[in-house]
Amino acid sequence: MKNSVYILGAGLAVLIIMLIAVPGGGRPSDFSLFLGRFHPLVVHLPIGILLVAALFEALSRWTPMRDRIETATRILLYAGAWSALLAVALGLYLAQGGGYDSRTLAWHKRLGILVALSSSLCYVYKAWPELLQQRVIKTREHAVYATAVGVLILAVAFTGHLGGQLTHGAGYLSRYLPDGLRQLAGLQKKADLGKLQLENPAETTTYAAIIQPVLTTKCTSCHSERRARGGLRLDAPEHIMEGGDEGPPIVPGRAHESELIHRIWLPLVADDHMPPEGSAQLSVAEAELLRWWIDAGASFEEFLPDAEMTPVVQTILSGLGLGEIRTGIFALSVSPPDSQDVAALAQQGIAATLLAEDEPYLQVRCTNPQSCAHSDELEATLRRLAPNIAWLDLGRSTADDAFLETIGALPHLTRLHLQQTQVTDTGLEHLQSLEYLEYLNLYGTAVSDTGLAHLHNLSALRSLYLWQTNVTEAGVADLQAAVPDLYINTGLSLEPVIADSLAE
Amino acid sequence: MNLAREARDTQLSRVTRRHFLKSCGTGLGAIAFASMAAGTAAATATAPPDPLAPRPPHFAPAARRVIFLHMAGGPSPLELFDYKPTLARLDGEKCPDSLLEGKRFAFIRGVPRMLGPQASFRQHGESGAWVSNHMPHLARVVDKVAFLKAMHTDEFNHAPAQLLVHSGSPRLGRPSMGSWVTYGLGTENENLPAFVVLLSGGAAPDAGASVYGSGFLPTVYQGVQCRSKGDPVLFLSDPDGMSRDLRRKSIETINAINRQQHEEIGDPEILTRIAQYEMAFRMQTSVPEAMDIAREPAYIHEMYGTEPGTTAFSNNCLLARRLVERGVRFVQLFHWGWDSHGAGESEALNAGFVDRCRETDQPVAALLEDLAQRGLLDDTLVIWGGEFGRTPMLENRTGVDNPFVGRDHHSDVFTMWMAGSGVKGGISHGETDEIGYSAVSGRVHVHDLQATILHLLGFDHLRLTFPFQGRDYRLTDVHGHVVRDVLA
Repeated sequence: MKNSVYILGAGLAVLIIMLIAVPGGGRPSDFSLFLGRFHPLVVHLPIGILLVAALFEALSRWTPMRDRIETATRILLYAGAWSALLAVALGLYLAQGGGYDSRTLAWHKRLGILVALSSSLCYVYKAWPELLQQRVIKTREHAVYATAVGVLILAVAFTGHLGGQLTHGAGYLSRYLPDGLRQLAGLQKKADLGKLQLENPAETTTYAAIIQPVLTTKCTSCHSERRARGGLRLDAPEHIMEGGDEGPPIVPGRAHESELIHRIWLPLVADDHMPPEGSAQLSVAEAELLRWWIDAGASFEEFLPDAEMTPVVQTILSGLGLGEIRTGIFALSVSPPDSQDVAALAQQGIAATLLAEDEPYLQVRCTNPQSCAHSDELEATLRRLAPNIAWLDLGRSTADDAFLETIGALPHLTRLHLQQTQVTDTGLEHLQSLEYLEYLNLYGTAVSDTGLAHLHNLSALRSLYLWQTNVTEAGVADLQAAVPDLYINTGLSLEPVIADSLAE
Repeated sequence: MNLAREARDTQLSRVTRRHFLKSCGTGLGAIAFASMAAGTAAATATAPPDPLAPRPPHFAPAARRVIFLHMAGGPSPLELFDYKPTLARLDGEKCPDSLLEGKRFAFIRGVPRMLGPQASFRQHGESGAWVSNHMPHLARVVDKVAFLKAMHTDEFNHAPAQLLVHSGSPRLGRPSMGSWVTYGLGTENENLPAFVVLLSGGAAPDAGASVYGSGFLPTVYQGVQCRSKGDPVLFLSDPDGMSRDLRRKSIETINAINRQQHEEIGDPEILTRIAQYEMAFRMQTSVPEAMDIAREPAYIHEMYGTEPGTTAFSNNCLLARRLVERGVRFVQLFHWGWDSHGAGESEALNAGFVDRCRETDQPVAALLEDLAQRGLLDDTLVIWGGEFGRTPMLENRTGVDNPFVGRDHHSDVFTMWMAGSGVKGGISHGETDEIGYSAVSGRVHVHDLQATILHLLGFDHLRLTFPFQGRDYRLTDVHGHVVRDVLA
């Protein structure tokens, strides 16, 4: 029996040499990959054998057949230790092929080695207890043995779990966990699985939102700082553009000339196919997103809402929970307006209609010029509806500065019509707080440069109408400088008709 | 009071024993239900729904109103916006057979000759859009415009092609675009019609009033034709000897009777009739005010080139602005005489066509600029175009030499343009080949344009439907794709 311990020791030694010798980087030989593929076959042997060994060990405490079981346990431990050694060795070859999540792989490897070591130790205790008693464990050897068996069982369980994760992907076990338990475990709801959870999609770049996640899940286990296969890193924009040993993987605007796309579409069994056969492949949708992004110029700065979507990409994104990217007030969560308040407005000559079927926002307008006189009652109703009012049209009405104070309290206003009303510079002061205001019509009012000065911090403002007002070029230029993206219309500005035409 | 008595008698004769039983049976159930369903249901049940009440669209809209400038007859893009120098070189050459195979034309028979552009072209604006010398005013506002240069249609004759543009079907009986929009959105000004049609004298559209009819939608949604000369709306003024007070009383009485009738029968056309009477009464004061362009200052008249009291297209452009300013939902303008066959002076590219351009160029450009300076172009959509295009070949129907040149109808390619809210300015979508005969890229079918217009108004064109004869109908029938490339 001592001989068997020596042989097992030799096996362990070979394994340790392999751990040091098997290269991590570079292209593995076909033969080592061939051997590696036997890992999934062999790996089930130690799991089964060692679990039975542990079971027998437990049984031997109680049964009268203790001696016979004792022998069986020893044989099982021996077979288990050897199969664990073999599985670890083959696993090292399999890992060379790459394509596995590197953190999970590292732990799987460590725990696998722990299984091999602890099962060997247990066997030594059974086969040659004196060796341990004399040299390693002086006292309480039985407790040490029991601990080793416990560690062995735990190690087998966790190694197996991690191995399953490497093969089937994370979340394989919990995929069909009922929603109640998912919540307890802090997992996403089942219906939300696969959806992107972006904090603020409107201000996320296309790259960060949908391209980087694809690269991270499918490419960076081999192409990142830890392990840049082929000299290529896909974990940061500068490395992606820089490329690896075979040049840059991406030609912006030309997906069909990009090595990245070329390799994804190679037949699965081709040597250059990426990700390598056996590792998680890109889904058709992921491949299409990459193609679309490269064809659109492979920008790392463009924001998601600015990207020009193809119908296919829109379909894909809606599946990822990004079907409709909402910006401005539409990204806010506002409760629907109170129908009694809306009815009260109608009583006061102001019509309010929902902006769209499923939006909480209202477009509000005077039904006739006299109906919009400012009153306390009207003000109270408008203030109750304040979060809901997005468009307000008081054009050609009797609205005046008193009304503007109320308007200043409508936080979500985006369009405001005040043309041909009695509003003046003083009233415009109240508009400073309207952070979402995009459109302001002041044509035909007594507004002047003084009033424009109140609009300088309305950074969302995009259109301003100032025809037939008292503004000057200087005041308009000041405002333009303060809000560069603003279109300011000060009235008719046509060039004379070109003479060569009508004369003919 | 004869009328009231007559109504009462009719009603009494209709209320039979069967009605009594039915009313009692279902009526008791209804009372029980109403008491269970709290007071709100009862409150809404008393007043019949207003078919013109404003309604929200499917999603937040870019545009609230539309002005559609229809150039009836099919203006030639080759003399306006689609610059084809190659066609000038080929002028007078015989048309190769390959272009004629499998094609049908309205008038061309045999092998026609090519006809070069009857205009000179220059690029204009920052966008560098090509515009011919016939549209010098429009050339100054091209940066507001998105050209659709590869429009196509299924029809090569006027009436069906016009019906297709306006109702989505070449056959009679479908609601027009303005009706669909009014049906979907209601009105913002209860004193004016939601859908106004302005003809410009001359010939009426070949397809007749159907191009602004309501088809199978309730007739309350049909276009109301207004005139820029004489009474703006026919039969609106009080008859001699009838005061406005008396008019009001009689309308109130008639409507009370009609409401009774509606409760009895439930025909939505009765609601239409009620709404029309009430609207007509309000329109007696609001329409003359809105339609009186003489109130506009002189510089505005100069800008549009308008003369109050005539039936010119320019007057209608100015009217269109006044109407959208007052919340009219859909203004449909028709201009006429663009059918440039060259068979006579009035329809020749080198005569009548030039006049048509002169009549429309300045007011259309003025309309865009005037809408812009009033801030209306940010919620109004303007569309310009005819029902089809014209061939790059000369049409010479008689075969005799005459000083006039023209082109035949052509359904494969024509130009339309859009401007205003939600539309990219200064772009050109779609390209035609070197002679403007076929589209090379960016083809847009009439149904696609309709889908795009509805999209800009906040509608998914697939969901704006009306049940009729057992199925849900829509403007784009079973077609239509939104042209996203022109959306801002």
